Amino acid sequence: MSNRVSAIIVRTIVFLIVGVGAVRSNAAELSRKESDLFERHARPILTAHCIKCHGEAKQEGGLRLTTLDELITGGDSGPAIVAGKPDESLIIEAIRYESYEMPPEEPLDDEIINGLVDWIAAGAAWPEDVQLTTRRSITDEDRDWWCYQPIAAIKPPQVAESAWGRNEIDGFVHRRLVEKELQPADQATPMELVRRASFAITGLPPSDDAVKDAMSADFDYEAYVDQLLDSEAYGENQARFWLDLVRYADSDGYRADFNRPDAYLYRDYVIRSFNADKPYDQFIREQLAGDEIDPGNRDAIIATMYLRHWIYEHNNRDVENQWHEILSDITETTSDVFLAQGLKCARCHDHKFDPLLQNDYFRIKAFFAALQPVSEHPVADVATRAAYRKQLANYNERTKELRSQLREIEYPVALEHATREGFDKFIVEIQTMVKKPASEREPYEQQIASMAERQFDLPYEKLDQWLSEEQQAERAKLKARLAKLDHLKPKPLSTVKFVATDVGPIAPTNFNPDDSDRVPVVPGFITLLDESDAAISPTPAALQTTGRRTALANWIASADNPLTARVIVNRIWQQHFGRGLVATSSDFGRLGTPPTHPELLDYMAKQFVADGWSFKQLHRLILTSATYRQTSRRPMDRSTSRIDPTNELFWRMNPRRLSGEEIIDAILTSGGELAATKRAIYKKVERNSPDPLLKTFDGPDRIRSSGRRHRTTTSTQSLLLGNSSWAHERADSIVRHLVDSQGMTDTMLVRRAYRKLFSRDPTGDEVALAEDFVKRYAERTPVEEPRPTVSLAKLPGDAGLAVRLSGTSTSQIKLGETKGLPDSDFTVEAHVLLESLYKDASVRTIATHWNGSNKSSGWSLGVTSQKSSYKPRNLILQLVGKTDKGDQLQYEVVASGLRVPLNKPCFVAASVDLSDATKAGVTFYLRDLSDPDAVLQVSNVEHTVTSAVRGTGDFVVGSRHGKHRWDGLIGSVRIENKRRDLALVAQADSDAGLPQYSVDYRFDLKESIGLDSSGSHLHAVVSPKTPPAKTPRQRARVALIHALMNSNELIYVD
Amino acid sequence: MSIERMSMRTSHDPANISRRSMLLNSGAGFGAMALAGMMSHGASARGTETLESKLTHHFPRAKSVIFLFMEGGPSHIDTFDPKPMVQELAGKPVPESFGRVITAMGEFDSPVLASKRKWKQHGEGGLWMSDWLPHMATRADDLAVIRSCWTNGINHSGGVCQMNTGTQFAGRPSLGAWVTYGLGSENENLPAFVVMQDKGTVVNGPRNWSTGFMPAVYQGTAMQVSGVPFANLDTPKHIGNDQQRLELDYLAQINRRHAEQRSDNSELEARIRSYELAYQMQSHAPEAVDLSQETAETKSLYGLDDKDTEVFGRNCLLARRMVERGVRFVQCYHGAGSKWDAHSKIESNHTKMCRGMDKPVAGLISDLARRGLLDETLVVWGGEFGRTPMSEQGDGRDHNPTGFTMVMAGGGVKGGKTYGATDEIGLHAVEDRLHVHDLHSTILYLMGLDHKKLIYMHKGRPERIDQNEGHVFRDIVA
Repeated sequence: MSNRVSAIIVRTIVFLIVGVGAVRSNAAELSRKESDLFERHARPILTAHCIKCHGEAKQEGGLRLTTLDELITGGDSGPAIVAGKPDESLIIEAIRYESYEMPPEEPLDDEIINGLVDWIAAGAAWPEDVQLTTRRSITDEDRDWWCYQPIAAIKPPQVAESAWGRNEIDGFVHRRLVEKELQPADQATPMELVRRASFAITGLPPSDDAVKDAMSADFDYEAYVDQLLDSEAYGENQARFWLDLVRYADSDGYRADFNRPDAYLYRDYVIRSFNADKPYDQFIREQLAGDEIDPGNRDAIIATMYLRHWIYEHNNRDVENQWHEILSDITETTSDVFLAQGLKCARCHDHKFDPLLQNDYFRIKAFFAALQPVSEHPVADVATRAAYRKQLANYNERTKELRSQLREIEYPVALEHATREGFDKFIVEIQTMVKKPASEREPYEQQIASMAERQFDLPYEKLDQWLSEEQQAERAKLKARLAKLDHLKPKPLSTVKFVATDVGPIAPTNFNPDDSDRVPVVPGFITLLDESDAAISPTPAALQTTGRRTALANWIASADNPLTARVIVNRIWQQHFGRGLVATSSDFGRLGTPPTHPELLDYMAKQFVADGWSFKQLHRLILTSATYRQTSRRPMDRSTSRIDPTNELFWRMNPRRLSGEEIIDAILTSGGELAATKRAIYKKVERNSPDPLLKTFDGPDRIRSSGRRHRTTTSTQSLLLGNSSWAHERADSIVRHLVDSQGMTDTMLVRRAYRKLFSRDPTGDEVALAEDFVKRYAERTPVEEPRPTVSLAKLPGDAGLAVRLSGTSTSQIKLGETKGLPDSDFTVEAHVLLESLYKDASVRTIATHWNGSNKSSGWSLGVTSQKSSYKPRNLILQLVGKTDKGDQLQYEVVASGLRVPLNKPCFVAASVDLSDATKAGVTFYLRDLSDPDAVLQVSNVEHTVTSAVRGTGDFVVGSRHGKHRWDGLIGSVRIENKRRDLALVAQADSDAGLPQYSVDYRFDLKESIGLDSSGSHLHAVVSPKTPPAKTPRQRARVALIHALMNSNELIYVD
Repeated sequence: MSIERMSMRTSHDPANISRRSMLLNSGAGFGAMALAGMMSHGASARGTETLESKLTHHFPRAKSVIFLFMEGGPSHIDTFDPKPMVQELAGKPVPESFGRVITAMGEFDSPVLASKRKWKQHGEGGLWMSDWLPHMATRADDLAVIRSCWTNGINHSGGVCQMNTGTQFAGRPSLGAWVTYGLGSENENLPAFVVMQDKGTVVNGPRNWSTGFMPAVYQGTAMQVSGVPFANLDTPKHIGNDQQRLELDYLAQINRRHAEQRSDNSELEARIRSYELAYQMQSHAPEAVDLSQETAETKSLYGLDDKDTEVFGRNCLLARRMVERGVRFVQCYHGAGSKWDAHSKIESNHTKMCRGMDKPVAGLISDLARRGLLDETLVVWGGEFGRTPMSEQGDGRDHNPTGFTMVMAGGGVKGGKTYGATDEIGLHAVEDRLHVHDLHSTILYLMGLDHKKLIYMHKGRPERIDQNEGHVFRDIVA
């Protein structure tokens, strides 16, 4: 079998390669070997390396090498080839650098040379009528390719067996089946249909009610489809496909992978658009040119974020290259997404297989040549924009002189002290562009300068320190004068961030970088479809745009465009059947595959446009067809396996595996957790750290457009869904969600679980199997001791027992009551061991009596982390209270400068004389308990808060309101409501007397963690309380659900 | 027979034709390869993209690759490529005649920085190496030093991305993924493509070993620094082996019942099998990383007894254990997080960085050699770019993408020799220039893969690792 097939493939290929030649040729006249030699060697070598100088345009040395005759005739030096005799052929001498040295730039690889030698040696066979050309011309055969034909108006065939057909789709499908003597499959059961349709439209499992309805005799499937299309979940599901296509993400990619905090607006816009059933043509126009076509519409402005989803490197010094990559990326993405044309292949040369010219690439790119990414853009109609511009122009005119004087003082100094990536690292050319005032820059300079300017900030607020006193005075004066004219400024317009518009009404020149003459390439469409230059209508002056993107959007979003409607209809078909009528949904070219049902595709495309480009109508048409409603469980038989083993003709429905998003959502839904956690579509998409489950289940990288996800089956997936704590916790949640009474039997649980997870009732066998599993699993599961939420551990050395706290746990140790706590002077001491720091600036909290708000009194003792502005591992006291200056509350950090070592038991303390703001006011202590010789480190620090530090809310050990958690051990915490010098040994007869603790926590009793031994009875409360241990049977039930969750039935929809 | 009929048929009927067998049978012209890619795409849609071992295009020199990635860009001028002219020009600007380049930090005009290294020739081949590499110098005759490499990315992100995927711009499969796609795995109990980092996280993160537009089966798996070697290899603590087995048996039981009614959906069977494979990996992977099986002498050879070399030594030793067990492509990052990036104080930076990897790398080569594995294991050493002859911040060097050194050993390369050359100051590669595409093509060649035939069809484009630009550097092949 394989031999036969591959032989046919090779013949097909040969046909294909030859077939796309510039001139129609007939391969049959050459033997296969001859043809191979010509197509693999002669044609590509001559085309790539020779005919640029020895071809149509130029004939250096009188030599032209575009036909066999020309090769044999040769040029000034005689014949270029002698057929059958490579060693006597001048062309071989030349490329061997033996006489002439050709091509002059650098010698060809031996491999390439040998190819030409072989071709000549075998007789230099040349297909009839073939003339080589560097310029690809559009042939009739090109024009005949199916996807460039107008979308035909086709009358749907009638289904002969009217019992089967339900709508127009079925006529087309049935006709093909009948032609092949196949019959459609039976209809799926209502329960299967409910599950299938629910996931297909909403990405969620059907509701309990829907499953129940499906079990009743009068189930109305079509009404159910309508109901699904009306739900908000529809848009959330449909958006996922679109976001894959436009490579939506919430981060830049590249090293720093910075967040894009406003990108989510686009995601939500897409969801909203689908839910509103926005016509697709409008959806296209908004994304490509929303700023031009509907400038007063906030959604239309948000939509232009379509033009912002490219990856971006925040510190790339090669600004111009990065900019061209961005424009190319937009060009290629637009071609992929809307037109399914592999334009990317034409970036460096004419497309080798499709009639896409290199010039077409730059014609399309020209529509984006004026693009200007902006950090914010107004939402205002033309009249409002015009009025704004007028007023701004007036302000600018009136303040021109002042601003110019101010700039002279400020700008050079500000540039010199540019922050972040700095200014001086750019090459001189870029620096020059940046230094020009924006009003004097050419459009291209403005694009590049603004790209460069994204890399630095100018520290105007700190400028005075670098100015002379004279300059400072002058600056202040100018600023004051300028401020007096502030009333002339127009009222700011409402804006949207992170969008795109044009650099101005004039576009920078666009050209092909390979063209040494840099001939401008003006906007135009795919030459085959329309070879004239695009007509661009100017936009109102107030918008300051070129109108180019509107022209492109109008061409794409036109009913006459043969690609647009076909492409999107095919994508939706692919979404439902797993494969498009055109299997290669982002490539309608020759390397893709033509449609299996071209007439059906055209019918649906036409109908889609006629229905006002309505997605909902299209979904409805597909989902209510008999074709869609077939069972997927019809087994393959002899005739189907012979005639159509891959079900291209739809003799049954294709089963579908859920996407990663659907798997997550289905599991969360089953455990009743979806409302609290939100659907997977709302997860942040960070390009460099993708969600593990989504990534593992073939989620695309969102770096390039993806029109179809892979569907792989890997052990990594099984490990993740089988072993991860996430999966086990979800199984546990599902059990808790399903078990609503103490007395629920295993049988009832199994029934509920099958309904929830598989949308059907289990058979008697299945119940028995499950019950048997639970029984055997429980028998093998040991009885567990309750596991306290906090555990004890030994502090190293002789420092005693301590409570173990982790940076990620949710447990909390707090005081039941706070009335004995200090309101003025106090001393707080603790035995601790710190195991790690936060990566950010969060604090590792030891003890706190503060709710964390800078507007509430309180205090907190802790240790700084990696990104703290007080250096990491610094023992600090945070205070919020009143200062000597007045009643307003102030937040301050009193930093000891004492560095708490990691993984060593330490004594730490702070003693506060609140009213004494001098250095004597706060004293810190630190001693390493692992080293008997370690000295007690002491540090005195000034503070400004002098009263009112008594906190509100709970007194908490080891965290602050669930955040700022300690990671490591805390052995004891004591508080005394007075200042005490801890460097002195406490003696009963000293002035200070023996300590009288208001709180004295010990953490050495497992049974009563946080026992207060001060005598005040302020015992700590540990929450959450130790949960009762799970019984073996409970464990077994979780395992049961976990197994069902991992089963094929969950992730495959029939 | 029309084109569309045949290509459609074959592209969805991969059952009996492995991609490779088709190549062999068809004489493998470009077009045939293109369709092969399409077939595999069709195959992926049916869940049959597998890691089963595949045939090579030609006789392979190497079965596995260990890519030692010195992340941040080591200075070629101070390690493998001595430049007397740099010493002469020290303190002066680079003469214009060498050609201006855009530098990451914009200090093109800063004076040339002399190298403080002492140079000696080593081995029978007389390879020049600096005193920063005393241990690697003992293996000089194994080392094929390519002095004329160049790349496009001037920043770490682009550079690291390019050394991994061929381009600075994200979105393409990494070299390890291409190799896995081309050759499959010889051991299903371990990932085919394993990545180790020392401390810190490599620039761009897991994207460096991802598959871009290819299916996820070919992606690299990051080894965890401590605990179980790969993520999710262990069940939660309260679930014992017994219980896990019970659950897996029950799962298999219900999956079988489900599959019985859907007998011709091969994906279901593949998924049933994936749970068994995962279970096997769970028991095999810990053995693969169990260093207690190694002798003290071996550990010492890799520098595991010295805290400066311990971390990278451990990874190098693990790399050997991986290739012994059939892992195709192992990547070990040294200095993950651009630690080689000596913009200032190159002396102290490179002294430390070289010391951290020199002994482990030499130990790895020695150990592979004495076990007879060096012939079939290609060791690649290098960073994403080199460093400039010009100084930066007085005592550092900036990124140099236009000329730098990569080193190969074992796996069918001729060692004890240098290849290519940079100009007199080490700024531009000038002789036998090797772009990253050429390096990739050469590595594939050594593994028995033809970079021109290893094609993956993506959106109608026949994609190759070298974006159709690479050349195999045959001089290096033994």
